[in-house]
Amino acid sequence: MRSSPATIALAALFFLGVLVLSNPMWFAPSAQATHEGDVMCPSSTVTVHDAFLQPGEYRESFFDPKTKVLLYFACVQDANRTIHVGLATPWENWTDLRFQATDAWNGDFNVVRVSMKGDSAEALDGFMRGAEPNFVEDTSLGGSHDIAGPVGRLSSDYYVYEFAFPLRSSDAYDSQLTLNGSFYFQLAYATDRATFLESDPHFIQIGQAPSGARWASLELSLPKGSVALESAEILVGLRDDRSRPVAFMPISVFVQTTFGFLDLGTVLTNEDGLASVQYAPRDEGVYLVGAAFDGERGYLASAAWLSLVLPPVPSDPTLLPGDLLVIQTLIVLVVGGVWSTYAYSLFVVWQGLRASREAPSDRQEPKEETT
Amino acid sequence: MASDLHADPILVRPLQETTWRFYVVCGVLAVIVIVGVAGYVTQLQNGLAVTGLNDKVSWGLYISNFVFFIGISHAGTLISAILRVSRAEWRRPITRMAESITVIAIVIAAGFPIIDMGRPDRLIHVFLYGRIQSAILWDFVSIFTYLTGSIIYLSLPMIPDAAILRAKYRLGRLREFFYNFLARRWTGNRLQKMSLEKAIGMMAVIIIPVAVSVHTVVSWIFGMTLRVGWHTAIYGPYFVVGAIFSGIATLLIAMAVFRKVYHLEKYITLKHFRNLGILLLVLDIVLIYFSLSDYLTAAYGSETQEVRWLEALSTGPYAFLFWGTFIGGFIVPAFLLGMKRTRTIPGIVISAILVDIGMWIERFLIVVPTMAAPQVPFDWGVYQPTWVEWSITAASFAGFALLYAIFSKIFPIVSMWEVQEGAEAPSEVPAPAGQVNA
Repeated sequence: MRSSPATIALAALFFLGVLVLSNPMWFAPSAQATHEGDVMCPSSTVTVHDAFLQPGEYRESFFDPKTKVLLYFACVQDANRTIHVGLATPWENWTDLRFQATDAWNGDFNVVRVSMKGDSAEALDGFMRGAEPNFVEDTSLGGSHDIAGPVGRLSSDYYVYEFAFPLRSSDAYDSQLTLNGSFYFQLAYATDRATFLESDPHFIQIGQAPSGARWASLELSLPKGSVALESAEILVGLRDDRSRPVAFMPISVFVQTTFGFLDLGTVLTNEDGLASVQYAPRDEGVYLVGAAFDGERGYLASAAWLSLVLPPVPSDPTLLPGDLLVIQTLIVLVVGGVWSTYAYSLFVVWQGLRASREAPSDRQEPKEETT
Repeated sequence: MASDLHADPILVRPLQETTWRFYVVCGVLAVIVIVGVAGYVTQLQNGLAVTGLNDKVSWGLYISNFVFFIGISHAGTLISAILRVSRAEWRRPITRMAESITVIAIVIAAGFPIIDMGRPDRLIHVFLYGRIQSAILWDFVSIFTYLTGSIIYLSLPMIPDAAILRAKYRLGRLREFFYNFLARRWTGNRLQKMSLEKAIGMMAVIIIPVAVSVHTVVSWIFGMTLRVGWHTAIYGPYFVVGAIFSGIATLLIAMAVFRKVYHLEKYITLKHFRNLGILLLVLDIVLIYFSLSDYLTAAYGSETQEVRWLEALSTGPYAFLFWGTFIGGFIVPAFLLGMKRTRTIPGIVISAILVDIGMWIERFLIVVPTMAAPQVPFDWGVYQPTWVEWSITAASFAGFALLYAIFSKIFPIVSMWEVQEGAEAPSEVPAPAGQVNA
């Protein structure tokens, strides 16, 4: 039987339809989830709001390549049905988490906007309309501020925030999420309240299945004493919750430039969980370098940021040790001298024992018998 | 010498009589050793993954134990050799206890780097690919040299005693094998005696710098690396003083045990405890001084890594161990040993136990916090010893006690001929009354 173009087109449409129905996340660009985007609600989750992201604290993670923001989720089946959020961002000012029930992405959505104010975190609970993205605080609309326990901290060269909000808010301006439902979210950041750079939308499902996702921690090391135009080795390491290296995982490395982030490439970790990337900055100055692991093979996502400081004056090269022949000779002489003394001591005793003929050492009859 | 020497029944009795309590103690110790062996077999089968060691903290309990046991091995050398060279007559009843501690402790200590390697078959690489510039190769050479010298230094003074026991007692084939091996041609004539004393004298002189070099080289394994807390010139003398300190403490504990169990009260007297107690006090003060100097120097520089390391020790996760060691292992013993009222045998032995516990924790604090401190701006390493490491550690202490107990059943734990010779010396400190039996 010959296939007509109409049959082929029909088959292609059917294939696409199956693809869409079987994987509702396919259209969500850049969504990086560890296990198909489920937010877990285990009864045993213990989330502490202390601005430290700890192993076992969160069950789902996302790294957004566009905004370079790392996001963790954990929902709790308590009376309030709370969803906890951990957020790591290199951005000094406002970072947004915008979320909404899946059935109305083009409509209104809830916004949690965080920033550091001195040594403490500031969190705004707001409302945005998709068509007119003007942020309005819920309280000014007659609603309530129901962001629980926002805390923040500057950790080396990035900011960590933790907060929580109820799935079922009493506030009419909040998105009403359900335990078994799903929602979209979007990340955004800005240097002021007006000009936000937004990520692509992500889609996650709130479920109750056991997570099984393991904590992964990315570490970043930058060489000291680097100078402009010289290649600097950026070292990254990936570890699990027991501080053991995680091997053969892709790590994206990037550096902030005047025109946005420059992608330095994706490298695989070796057996020691380490990978390195070469980078030769053109000028002296401070460069924000980042590395991200998107989460793979059951590991949660992780990211790290550090500033590469290139001073104008190069440091002096370290002197290498010189000829070690003197040390080798000294060791041989000392050790040889000691062993010679041992040998001579034994020789002296042996000489004395050889003289035993002077008084034969016949065994005497035992005077005391023992059992 | 065999012909004109006599054995005090008190000293020979432990070789002749063994109570059920001895077998019970040895049985318990053997069980602990077997558990440790099971732990090591588990490690051999599954690799170092069954330990808490990782790529950041690759030296944990194993290397802490290694440094500790090398430390207490200094008991023999520094007590026996130095006191022998300085002709301190009161040393005579305790020299063999000290010398045997040395040999057993080195044997136990030498096993730990091999256990820490994970792949013991790779020990051969030290010979095949060892570089003479490496402090680890220096350590290997110095420990092997020290072990050999200590065995010779322990064996030589045992020849006359072996001759006495061989000639006058029947103590079973195994022991007679040892006695024959050592004293088959010993008659005790003047030439033999002169040769033996000359050889012991030479060994006593040479073993002192060897012992000092061993712990100095052990300290260099740490000090030669550019790691925070380790890279300091004070580490050589700091380790040596700490080693003598813990060695004397171990000897005091051994003295107390043997004195009680083998009824050696007339040989091991309050004078021995007090003399060693004063030595312990002096070393305690020197060690406190070194510690303060080391930590103050590190703190005063205010380098970022040094400050973080000091914070981890003093107020961080190691604070309890750090202050516990400093107060319980250094300060409290200093008071107990310093006050005349507590300078009794129980007081001195309690101080020695505190010192040994403190020194073991101190070794742990030398090894682990520095390894956990990040060299690059990564997170701190995490180290939690597993049951494998704890079982092997317990087995090492049990094995040490077991070997020591067995040794005391093969050879007299008090050197019979040296005690008798001391008693016959005209102007020395009088030996305990009634020790020479006709």
